[in-house]
Amino acid sequence: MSIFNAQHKIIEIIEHDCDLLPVLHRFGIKLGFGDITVAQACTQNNIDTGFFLGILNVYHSENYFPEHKFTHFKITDIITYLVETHKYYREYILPEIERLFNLLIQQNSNQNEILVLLEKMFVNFKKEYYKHIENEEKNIFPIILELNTKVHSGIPIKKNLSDFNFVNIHSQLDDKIIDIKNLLIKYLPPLIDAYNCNAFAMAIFRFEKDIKDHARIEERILYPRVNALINNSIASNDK
Amino acid sequence: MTNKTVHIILFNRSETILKGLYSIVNELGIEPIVIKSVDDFFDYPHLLGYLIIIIPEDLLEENQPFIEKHYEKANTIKYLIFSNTNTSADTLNINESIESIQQKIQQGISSFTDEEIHHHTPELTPREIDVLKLVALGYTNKEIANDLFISTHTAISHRKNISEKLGIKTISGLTMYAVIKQIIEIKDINTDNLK
Repeated sequence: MSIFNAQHKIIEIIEHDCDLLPVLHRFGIKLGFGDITVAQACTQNNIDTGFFLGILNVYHSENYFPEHKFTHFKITDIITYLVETHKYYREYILPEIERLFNLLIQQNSNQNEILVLLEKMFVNFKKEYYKHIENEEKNIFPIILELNTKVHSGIPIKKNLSDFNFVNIHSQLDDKIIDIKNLLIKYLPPLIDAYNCNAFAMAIFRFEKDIKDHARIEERILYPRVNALINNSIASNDK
Repeated sequence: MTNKTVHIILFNRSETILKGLYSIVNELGIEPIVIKSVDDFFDYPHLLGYLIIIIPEDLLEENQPFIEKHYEKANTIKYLIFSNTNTSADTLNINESIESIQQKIQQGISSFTDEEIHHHTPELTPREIDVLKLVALGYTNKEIANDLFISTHTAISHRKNISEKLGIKTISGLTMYAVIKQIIEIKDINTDNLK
C-alpha cells in the first residue's frame, strides 16, 4: 500500500511518487537503476535499509512519522543525509527558483514593480537560509559528531555540553517562503507569462515540502537522538 | 491556524477488508491511512484537521478513548462504523454497494466543509484593513493600538485573524499583500525592511 518496503523496486517507487528522485540522489542512488529492489540498492550503495526506508516513507507520506522506529538510526547517517539535502538546496533548488524569478520579472512588465519587491523578499530569505545551513554545517553538526565519537569510544563528555541548545528558527524561515508563494499564487493579478509562473510555483511547492521534511528530521529525529546520547552518557558517568 | 485537511483512517483487523476499503477510498482521490493494529497509530502521531475513522463497532468500543487522546489536536473526529449486519447513515455495511459507501464517505467530508462555511469569512473587515495598513507601514502592535484607540491585545488579535484569513504570516508578506491589493502605495513603504 502506501508505505514502501525493502522488496519494492526502486522504479515502482519512483513511478508512484517522482518527488522522491532527489531523495534517492541524496543517498547516492543514481538514475539507471533498472529493476533493482530497495534491499539491493541499499546493499550496492552501502546504505542502512531501515534508515533509507524511514526517510523515503516520511518524505512520501506527510502523516507517516513513526518516531519509535527511528531511535536506532545512526547519527552519522542522519547528518550525512541532512548535509546532502543542504547541497541540493544550495546547488539546485534555490538558484533555480531565483532563475525563474528573474525570468518572471523580465517577461511580465505588467507587474514588474511588485515582482521586483517579491524577489527582494526571496533573495533575503535565501541569504538567511544559507546562513542557517552554514551554521548547522560549521557549528552544530561538528559538535554533534564529536560528541557521538566520544560517547562511542567511552570518553566522558563534559557536563556543560548537556545544555546544548538547538535554536529552532525553521518555522519562521518556512513562513517566509510560504508567504512569497501565497502572494504569487493567490493574490498577484495574473501574469502574462503563465508557463514560467507555473514552473515557478511548482518549484516553490517542491522546496516548501522539502524544507518541512528537513525540519521534521532535524527536530524530531536528530535532536532527540543527540539529547538521548548526552543524557545516557552523563547518567553512565555519574555511576 | 485552523487546519482544514481531511484524513480518512481505515482501522480493521482484516487485511482483505483493508485492501478493499483502501481502493474504494482511493477512487475518491484520497489516500487513506491504514491501521491494522492499535500500535500502527503511533506511525501517524500528529494528525490535525478533520478525521473520518472507518472502524468496526467492537474496535471502536475498545479503542475510542485511546484514539481521542491520541488525536486530541484534531478539530473533529467522525466515526463510520463498518458492520457485517447493520445499515444506517453512519454505518458502512460489507454487502453495501461501492457507490453507496463512497457516497457516505463524501457526506462525511462535506459535513466538515459546511462546518467551516459557518465559521469563516475570508474577506477582511474594514477594521482589519486599518490594522493591515499600519502593519504595512511598519507600526508595532503598541503603536497600532495607540493609533486606532484599541488595546494592544485587540491589535494582536486583529493581526492573528488577518494572517489566518490570508494565509500570510510575516510582516513583509502582509506588506506586499497590502501593496498588491492597493491598500497602500509602494512609495509609502520602506522597501529596505522587506525581508
